[in-house]
Amino acid sequence: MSKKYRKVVWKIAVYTILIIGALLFLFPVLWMLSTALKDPQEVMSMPPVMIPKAWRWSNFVDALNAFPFLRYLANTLFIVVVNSFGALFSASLVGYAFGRLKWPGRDIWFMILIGTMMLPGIVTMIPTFIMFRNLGWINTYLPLLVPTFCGSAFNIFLMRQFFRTIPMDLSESAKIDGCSEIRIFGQIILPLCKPALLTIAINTFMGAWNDYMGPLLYLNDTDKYTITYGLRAFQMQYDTDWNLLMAASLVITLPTLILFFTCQKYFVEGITLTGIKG
Amino acid sequence: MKKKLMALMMVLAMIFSIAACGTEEETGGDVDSGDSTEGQSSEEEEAEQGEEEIKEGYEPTYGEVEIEFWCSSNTDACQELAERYMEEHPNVTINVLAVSFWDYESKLIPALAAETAPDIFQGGLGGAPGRASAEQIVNIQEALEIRGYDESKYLTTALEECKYEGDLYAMPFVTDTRLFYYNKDAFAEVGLDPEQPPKTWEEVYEYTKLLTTFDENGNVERLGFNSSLGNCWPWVIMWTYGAELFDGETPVFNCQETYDAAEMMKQIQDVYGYDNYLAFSEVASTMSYSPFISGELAMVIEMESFPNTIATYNPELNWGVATLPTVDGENYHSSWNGGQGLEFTNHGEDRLNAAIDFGLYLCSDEAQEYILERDSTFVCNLDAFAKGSEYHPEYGEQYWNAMEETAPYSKFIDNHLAYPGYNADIAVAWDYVMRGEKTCEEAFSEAEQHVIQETENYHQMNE
Repeated sequence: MSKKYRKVVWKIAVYTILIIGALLFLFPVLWMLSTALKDPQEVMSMPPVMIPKAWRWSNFVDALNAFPFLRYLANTLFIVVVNSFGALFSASLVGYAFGRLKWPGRDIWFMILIGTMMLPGIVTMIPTFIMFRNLGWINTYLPLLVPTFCGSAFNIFLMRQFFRTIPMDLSESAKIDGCSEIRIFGQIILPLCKPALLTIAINTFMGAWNDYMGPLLYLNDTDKYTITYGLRAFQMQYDTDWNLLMAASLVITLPTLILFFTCQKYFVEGITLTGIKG
Repeated sequence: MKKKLMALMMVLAMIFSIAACGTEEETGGDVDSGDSTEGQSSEEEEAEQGEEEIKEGYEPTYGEVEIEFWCSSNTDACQELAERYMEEHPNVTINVLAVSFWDYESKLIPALAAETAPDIFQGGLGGAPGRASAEQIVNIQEALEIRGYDESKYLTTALEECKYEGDLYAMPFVTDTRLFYYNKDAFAEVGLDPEQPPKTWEEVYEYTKLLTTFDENGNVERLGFNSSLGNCWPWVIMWTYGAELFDGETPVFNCQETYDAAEMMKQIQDVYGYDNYLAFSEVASTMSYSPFISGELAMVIEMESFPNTIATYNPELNWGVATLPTVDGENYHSSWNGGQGLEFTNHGEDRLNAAIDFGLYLCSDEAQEYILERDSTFVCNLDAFAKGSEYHPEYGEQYWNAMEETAPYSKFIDNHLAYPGYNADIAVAWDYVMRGEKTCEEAFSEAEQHVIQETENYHQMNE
């Protein structure tokens, strides 16, 4: 067997395995699509049907008409955009202070900050709720928006790690040339941090897009609801409209998929450069 | 670059403006009944009759008042009833918030803790005593007496769940129960009489042997019965053997009746084996379908609302229904109730009075019949519930007979304020027995000891 022939056979074997693996991981999505196109009777037919007899594209229309889709979409986008801005603003400033400035107690404060990551959200849920109640913020977007401007430990940690990979010589040269700290931060260091910033932006986008508990707890006005909340319209106490739920879920998943694949390069770069793995 | 920036800003401005502004059409659309004018006038008459019925000798003194109402069951019906009530009472504004049943407690618990819970809300029947002991809800006994509330009109078991230290803290609203469903075609196929469902668990075992079929590889094609499939929990089976869960605060479920119940379910499962059940059950739960509806399970315990699900997913299914089997077919008839009561918080006297009046309307004959007709829900108002077969003859005589027989026996799971999570211990013990990992004595005595320990811990912490 020639070397070239062996190489081709090897490649075919590798690609076959990869394709099988990809199909395996894609199966839940394909099943979602299949269910989204079925009528209710076919959803529970046995043996299960992968390809529907009649493709009911009208399920997508019915699903999006079952709740005020455009309003919830607009509400969600509002929260996502403000949250992304807030997360970038706070994480970059605080991360810079921890990563590139020397000040007394810096490392102790950083340890305390990291320590907050150990607190499960469920533990702080009721005290936080009472705090926002005392501020008069219940049934407003403020509890969903303001905390992102106060920084998240994970994002700050990520930015700090990234800032530390940039040589200090750059800052020192800029200082010698008379540059202020704010200018060094904004014009020299921050433009070099695009991968980390994009990682935070994508993470925040996906977190806010998929957030269910926040709107559930703090919003009491249906006009203010978000898109994930709309999905619950299909799940009743004893019954679920599986076909409509899958149709709506597919539509709602699309923006995150598009965002992830568009920014995949930066996302992976940000993760690898800062040494943070999922 | 400037053009791109401008375009981006315009898009953002549009998003924010849509997010910030509400449209009246959308809000109105949610609550618009869409009924004809003719329909509305007869409904108004009925509403007036209902009001007279519940408010004899009582006159509300409040003026303009706005109240909040949260619901998780029969939400569309509640929206419609609130609309009708507001038409009759223009001084009362009711803001209804429908929350998914599955997230309701997550929303309610912080709100109760922070005292931002609504004036009136649906609370799980059985939960009221706990909320009353924590002083999160209002004692409505006196307010109901003033309004001439007739307790005999409501399902006794549901009413008892609304009481704490003898006083009412909630009004029974809607309930549910479990029935025994079977596949008539499968019965006929194996030579069983489709009109004679099993009355004892021994018969269920015998029928399971006939109804369970395997393919050539030994995998289950159709399963007769399994107590873990459908909407069935160990205590439901235990009750049908005469076991009780508690005597006061003391657990008493570690008894011979429980052992007999668990051993019989194990015996039924051994017809096809635990591994076959597990494979079968995993596929069903992963693919989110009911094996009974798909014809792969011949007998199942399910909710009384199950016929609606069958009608949606497999209207051709030839099903029958009966009361739950018992140990001997004569004694210990039982089933398990759940459901919702109406509870109240105090945000001022006027709001509380308005909320209680609205609550009484929701429990009136008119409102309860509307819920029964619209959602075919097992309502707590007995006069309304008695009309079930009139509103839903499509379920058949067999269904309504089974409901009528089950209703008096169906009961709520015991309230245990010191350790409300005890049912998880029973379920775990039951699983050990079903998997064959522990004997009944080992599993249930461990569970009982754990409940005793948790109860002691609670009392030590609260001393």
